[in-house]
Amino acid sequence: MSYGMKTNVGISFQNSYGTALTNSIYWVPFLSEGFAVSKEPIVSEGMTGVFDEGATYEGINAVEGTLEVEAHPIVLGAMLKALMGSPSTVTSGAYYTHTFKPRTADFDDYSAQIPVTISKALGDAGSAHRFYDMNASKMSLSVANGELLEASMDFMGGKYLQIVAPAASYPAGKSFTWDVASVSLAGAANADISDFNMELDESLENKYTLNAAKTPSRTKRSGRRTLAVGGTLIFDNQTEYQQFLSQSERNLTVHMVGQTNVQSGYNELLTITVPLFRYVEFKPVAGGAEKLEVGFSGKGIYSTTSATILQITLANTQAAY
Amino acid sequence: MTKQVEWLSPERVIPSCGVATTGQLISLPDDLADKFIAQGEARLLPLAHTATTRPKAETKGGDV
Repeated sequence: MSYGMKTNVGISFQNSYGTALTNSIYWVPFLSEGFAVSKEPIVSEGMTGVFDEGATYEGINAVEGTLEVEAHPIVLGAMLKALMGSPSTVTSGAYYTHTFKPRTADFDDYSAQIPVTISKALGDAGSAHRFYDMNASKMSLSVANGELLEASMDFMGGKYLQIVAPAASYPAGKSFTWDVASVSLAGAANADISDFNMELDESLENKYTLNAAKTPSRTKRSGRRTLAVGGTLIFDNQTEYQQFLSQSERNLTVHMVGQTNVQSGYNELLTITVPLFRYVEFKPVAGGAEKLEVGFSGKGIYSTTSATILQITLANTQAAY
Repeated sequence: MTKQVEWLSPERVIPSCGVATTGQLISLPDDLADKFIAQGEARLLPLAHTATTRPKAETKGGDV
């Protein structure tokens, strides 16, 4: 018998589209995963004098799945690279500061993102599964009071192998907790936000061509990138409501300090910066007797000044991604 | 059976085996060690009794 808790999932970054990578795997401590091959059937519509449906053929193959994790400082960097490309890195002794921004160009003609290989070993259940030519299409980050920072990433692509299970090893260190988070709006700290979430959607889709294969020949963009931001605000005053009414666009920064002291005075850090954040929905209503809270939603706007919609800075002990 | 290997990767937690830091010598079950070696994360150490050593050259004593 095998258990979910004995399953290992790892991500590695391919050098090119079409060739799986079997080493340099970032093993991910995960909460849940949904990687599986789907095979869409083609049913013949031809009428053959019977009431029964026609012959069935194997149609397009695809792999899609969501990986949910508690955001570990080292592993989070690998996930950000999958979605946003390689970071720029500044080194100070053993302290490495990686700055991620969404891609400004596709990886190549076949792949919008760096193609990744995902290895999944299902405990004692025999062969491991290897999905390759996968693209990270969407990522969400969320933190709420009393919880760990969680990340969820959607992958899509379509090539698959069964392999001998590789050996897994996990980075040391601890995840980010809610009590190390702070939020600032337009440069001023805001202590009224009780939970926060954001979702960067790259709007990707698999493309199939007549290339003698049932798997996608590329994964490319089908729409524009969007950044959704949401959360809950304790409604003690009208300050943020005025910002909704005026539809202002302001800097939003979420800052988290990790528990691991890398070197004297320097802990692991995560800083999420949305240069221009704008409220889309903000409805202060009394839904019951309890303290007033407002669930808000908003979005990131591309800043021509910062030349990005989002910037994520991650400082840790990982020399490079 | 176990094999002693030198860990080449950055510090990692190996499930059911413990923590390995770069350059550390660790003993791992044979199959696990073979996989880490194949993945380039560890390397096998030569056994002490099979290591070849050259005899020391004789030195002449001199006046003190």
